[in-house]
Amino acid sequence: MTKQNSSDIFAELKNVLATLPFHLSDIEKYSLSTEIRNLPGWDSFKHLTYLMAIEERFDIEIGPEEFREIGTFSDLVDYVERATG
Amino acid sequence: MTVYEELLDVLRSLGLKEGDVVAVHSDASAFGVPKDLRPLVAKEGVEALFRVYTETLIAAVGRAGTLLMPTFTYSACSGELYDVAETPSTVGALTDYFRRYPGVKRSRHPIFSYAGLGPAADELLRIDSYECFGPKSFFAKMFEHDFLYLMFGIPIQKGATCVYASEEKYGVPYRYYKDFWGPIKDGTEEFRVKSRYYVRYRELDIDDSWQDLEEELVRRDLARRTTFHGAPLVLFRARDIDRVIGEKLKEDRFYLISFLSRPREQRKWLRTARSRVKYENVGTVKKTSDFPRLLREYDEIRPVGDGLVVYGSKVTRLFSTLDFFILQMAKELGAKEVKVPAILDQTNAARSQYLNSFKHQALTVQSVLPESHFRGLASPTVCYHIFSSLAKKRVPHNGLIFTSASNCFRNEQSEGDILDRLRNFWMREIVVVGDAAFCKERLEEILEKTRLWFRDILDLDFGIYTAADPFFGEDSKIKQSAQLLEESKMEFRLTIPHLGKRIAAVSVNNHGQVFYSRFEFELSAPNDVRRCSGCVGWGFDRILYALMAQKGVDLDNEYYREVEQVRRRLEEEQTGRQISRDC
Repeated sequence: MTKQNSSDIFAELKNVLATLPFHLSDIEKYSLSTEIRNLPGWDSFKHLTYLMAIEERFDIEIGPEEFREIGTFSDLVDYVERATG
Repeated sequence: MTVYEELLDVLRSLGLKEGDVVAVHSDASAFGVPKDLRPLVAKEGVEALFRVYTETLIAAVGRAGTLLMPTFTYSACSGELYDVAETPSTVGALTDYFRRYPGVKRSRHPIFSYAGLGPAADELLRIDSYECFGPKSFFAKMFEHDFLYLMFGIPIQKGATCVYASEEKYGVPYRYYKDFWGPIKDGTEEFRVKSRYYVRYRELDIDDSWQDLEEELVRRDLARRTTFHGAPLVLFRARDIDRVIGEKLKEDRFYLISFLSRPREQRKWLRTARSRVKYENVGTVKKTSDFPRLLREYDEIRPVGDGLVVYGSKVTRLFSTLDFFILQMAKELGAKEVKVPAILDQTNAARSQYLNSFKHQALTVQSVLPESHFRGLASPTVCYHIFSSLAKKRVPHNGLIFTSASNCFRNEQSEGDILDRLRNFWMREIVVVGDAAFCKERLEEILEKTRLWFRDILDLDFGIYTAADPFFGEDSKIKQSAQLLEESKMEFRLTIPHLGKRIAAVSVNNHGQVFYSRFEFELSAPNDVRRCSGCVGWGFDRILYALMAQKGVDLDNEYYREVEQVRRRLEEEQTGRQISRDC
């Protein structure tokens, strides 16, 4: 997989989120500091579904610790960057 | 080893065994997606993971055990319908999966519902009271039977809701009671209930801080802790956590919270004497965009001077209905109804010392004829007349209760709507005279009856506050602090929605023994018995103002008709009782 820069990854993270049936509005307004777990109606189902979709999209594996520790989109971008780098 | 076997082993190592009753609070995402389960999850979705966790937990307690999970919806907090079968849990996807699992039942609580499976589920999920954390709540039953809590993927800090029940049980200075209306649908049955929640003061910037509690429980070997795929699992007994909280709160009332900002100021706010809400009721408020104009134009209320109004027949009827409810209370208390004048003569005005404390509110009465020496005070209260009538008399040891309604007068000026403050207003009082215990109990009884009347019949949005009188003079601050510290004055403050404020409409006053010496009456009791008097005053004009602001200006609307029907029903019941007695 071609290495992507942070802004490309962030854009792709939002694209993946938009494809999921979570009925989130204003995804384009999310910033790197947005807390993923604080998104409207977010729960463990959505968290697991989203991170698994990220795993599939970037062909990476997210460990249990990261499932717990990833808080913001910035954390997720960093993780994807490291995992694909 | 499969994930199922691995988790079962971990649960067994914690001490969870067949036959246990356990409430599981969880964050299922904390374990990630265990490797072995990835193919299954890829094929069936994330719910396959929840199925494995649920079935493992069910297996851990076995057929003789009971598994419970919170399915909190907080529906009543926003007045939304709680549909027992449909409203999703807001506290985790695993809990929402569990409530839909075959055979699982769910409680009817419109804020803190639980779902359960197993022989103890019926008893635990049965609603004996819609209070959230009180002595008949789910949490109290957990304490009573000393059942287990399991934090599944989260520490105590993130999910031990039972801590709030202990906060209520032991009483903490940063919470008070608030009643919410909860509409509930269960199958074809639909009904509304009041749910009491021990909520935090909005003025505070605090958060739960239970990390030390978890460490304390583990240190004392009262909680067992391990990890599963790196996330915490903590198992403890309901009574143990409750007992430790009780001990710790005795040492430090703020043990369970952290101040997020200005800790010194916030502690001071909690410790110092100030008017503070002790109870709130969320009533049904009809939003009227143009209330001030509608009130001004309503023909039933005609201003006839500064702070003076003439009411029409509909208001008069409403006043009579309000008075009916208060008189019911008075009757139940065995009060004697009396008539009092609207003027306090000079002698009794002097005895009351009203001018010393409330000079700014006084309105005097005198003849315009120079030869007339009559001077008086336009009655500021009803109770002064009762005390005047007791002068030089002995009150029986078992106490006396009087009630009277009258015009009262205070030099107050309305800055807003006409009914906000009136110089001449209508008030009924119940006055109690006796020993300290008698007065305290009667005042508490009246406060509670008024609370239920306002909550259940009038459906008012209101709060009960500790309060202080607007004393005049140099020592006014000291007098106010004393009242607030002793909680000797409580006010019912009713919400005026369009102004975003509450106005005092009922005050409950414990006078202590001050009026015995001022009005020179005595109590037939040994000298070591503490003398006391007290009064409760209901301001009709202010109740009217709040009713109109909350329920609409038109006194012919459905709300007022329903209130009137309640009155009629009660009257008929009384007539029926009377007839049956006479027969």
